[in-house]
Amino acid sequence: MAKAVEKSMSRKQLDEVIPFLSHKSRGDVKAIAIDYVTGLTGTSEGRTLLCSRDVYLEAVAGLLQDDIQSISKQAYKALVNLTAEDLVCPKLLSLKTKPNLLQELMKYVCNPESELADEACMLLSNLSRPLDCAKKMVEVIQKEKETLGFDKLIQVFCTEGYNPKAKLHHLGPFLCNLTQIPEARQFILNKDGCVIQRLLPYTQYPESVVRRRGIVATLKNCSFETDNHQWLLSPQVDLLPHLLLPLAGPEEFDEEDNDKLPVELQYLEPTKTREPEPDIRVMLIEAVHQLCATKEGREYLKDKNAYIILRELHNCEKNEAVIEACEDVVSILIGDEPAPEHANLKEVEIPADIQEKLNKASRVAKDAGGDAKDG
Amino acid sequence: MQSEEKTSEMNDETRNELIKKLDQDMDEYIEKMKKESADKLARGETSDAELSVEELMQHPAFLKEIDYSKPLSPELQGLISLRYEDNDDIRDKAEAYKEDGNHNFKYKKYRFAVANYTEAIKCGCPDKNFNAILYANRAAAHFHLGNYRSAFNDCVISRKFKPDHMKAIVRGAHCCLNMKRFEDAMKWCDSGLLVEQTNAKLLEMRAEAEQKKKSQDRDKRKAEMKERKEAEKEQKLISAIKSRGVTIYRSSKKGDISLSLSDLESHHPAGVKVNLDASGVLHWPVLFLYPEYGETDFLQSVSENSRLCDHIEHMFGSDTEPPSWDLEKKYTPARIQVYFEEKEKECLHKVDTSDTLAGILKDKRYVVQAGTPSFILLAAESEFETHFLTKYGYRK
Repeated sequence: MAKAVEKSMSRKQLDEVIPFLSHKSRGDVKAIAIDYVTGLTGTSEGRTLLCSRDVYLEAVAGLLQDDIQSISKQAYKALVNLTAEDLVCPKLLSLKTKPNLLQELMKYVCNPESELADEACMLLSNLSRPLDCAKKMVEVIQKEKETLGFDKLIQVFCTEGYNPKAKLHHLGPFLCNLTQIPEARQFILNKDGCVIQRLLPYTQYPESVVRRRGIVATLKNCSFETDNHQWLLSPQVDLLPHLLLPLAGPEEFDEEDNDKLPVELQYLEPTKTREPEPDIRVMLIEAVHQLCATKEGREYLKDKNAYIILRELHNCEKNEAVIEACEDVVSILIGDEPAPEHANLKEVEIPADIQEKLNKASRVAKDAGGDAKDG
Repeated sequence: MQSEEKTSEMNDETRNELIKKLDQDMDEYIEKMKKESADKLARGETSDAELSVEELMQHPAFLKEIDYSKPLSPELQGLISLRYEDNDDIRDKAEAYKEDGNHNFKYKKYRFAVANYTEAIKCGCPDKNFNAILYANRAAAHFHLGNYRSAFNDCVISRKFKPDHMKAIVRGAHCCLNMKRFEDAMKWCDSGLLVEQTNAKLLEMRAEAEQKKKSQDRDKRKAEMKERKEAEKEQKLISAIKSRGVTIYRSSKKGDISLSLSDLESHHPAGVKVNLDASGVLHWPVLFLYPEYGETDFLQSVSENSRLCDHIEHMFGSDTEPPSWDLEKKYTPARIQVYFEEKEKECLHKVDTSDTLAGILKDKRYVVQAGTPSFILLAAESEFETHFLTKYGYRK
């Protein structure tokens, strides 16, 4: 009972504050109002309350371009917090008073002089997480190809110091979320352009975990397109070294082993360090795993001695999830080739009873490792 | 719906922006070159293959101020005398020289072409485009003569006049490639690709530069690993010798405690020197001196655990032919006496040949010279031995 009363109290307060969330309001009043709303976004009840009515969201979104920077910064903060909840995202993208929110946000991010480009990036990143939102965003991007196309996004992402006031690292996860949609993946996997090649160096970008994670996740998503594997492994893209380098450590190999490795991985110095984030290590290994789907892919990875890199990783790896992912790939690399009819691992039909056993085993493994700290 | 145009027509505004950016990039690049050159000079490293930034900086295109106290370069004189008038006569003269240059170039007379273009440049026409072309052409001529440094310089100047001059960009990238400056080659290709995204030559050169750079980096890492291994080996050797308590003669007595490999260098022509084998045993080169006949024997590799008497038995025993210099056939295992000289005190000490080499070297009075332990061998009960020992004041 007390909670219900509390809730209705908050709603009443909120309703009183909302009118002041207009850019026409006086600066100090606006500030108090937006601070209150941003405060609300800190709790899950507050967030639920705010997304219960479109008019609330519209009010906040309206302040994104406010003249006073501190106000719009708070507005961004509020929306970023709100969009942590998946349910909010589609609502934001279909506000009646802000039908072009997405285009506005993207134009803003692509403007090298925008003051709050980082905040806008974070919002885009959150907004693109739910699948239906990502789909909508990809549609918009494709429609506005001239000004806001993927080309522009990639260019902004890859230009160091594009915006002197913003790092734009969150374009990484934004891109990754977009690649949930096949059209986005197809754009990145464009054979005639130089798109994916420009993203590859970021698998080893020490300045930002966010950017690195975003790109590795993007590459992982793209690695599900089995038809493109041959091209991805070819010299045109040469994906493999960029996946293996972050997984490689300072361990020494003899000359014979070294000579088989891709050039970038040969004779690594004793100061070489591995990717520090375990979840990124997992994604890198999962991308390598995908590349094992076809016979040609497996042969290529075996030829390039990918096994020794994973072996050394396995020897000093402490994280359960990484160990498991590693073992999955290693077993493919050192195992015998499957029968010709099973050459494409993705097209093998697993009998129902065996599938059940596999699922059970996997669940057990996950539960066992589930309590391990991820670091 | 139209398919995506990759080579879109750039409108003037975009082009000007691009030119501005390329010009900025070039200036930054030149600043970087200057700094690198200064650093190299400070470290005492100079190499012909490196760009002489100083030469480049003397060109009027880069001068910010003119030092009238020094004689003016021909290019500068030309520019000054022009007084910003686009003089038709001068332009015609320059065009004529340019045509000559092109003609010679066509017939592969590259040195003449360079001279022609130089004369054209000396005319000092103010037209930026014209100058860009002249320098780019001269760069091409230099390129075909293998003067990659000069060609590259000319490409830089050409781009100073016109930052997006494709011929200069392509030529410059090619020069970098040939000079093995792969990172620079890639940068030049990227600049060019901003102007023409699908320029096949640039894409090709960029891919080649990238490949070669990777190999270059790998070779560097491989060499570094080799160096590290050598250094490790050295360290192991030195600590083994130290732990044996062997005294090594040090030429540089600067007071540093650490032994270095140079102290162990022998005078042997093949560079034979002490080494540590896989089981941790030291092997020394050893010199046997026979002062009676002025002869020596060089033993390449004597295990520290072996005994001198065994070596002597092997070399002078009944199974072996006596050495040709042993006229009196008195150097036999039974009669051979071994001594070592304590150089500092100029005296001799007798060696117990049943001792191992390691044991002998432990002697604090024994100092190893030139990384080679040496021993004096005399025949007992011989006139020479008596004479020799007396000279040294040896008391039995």
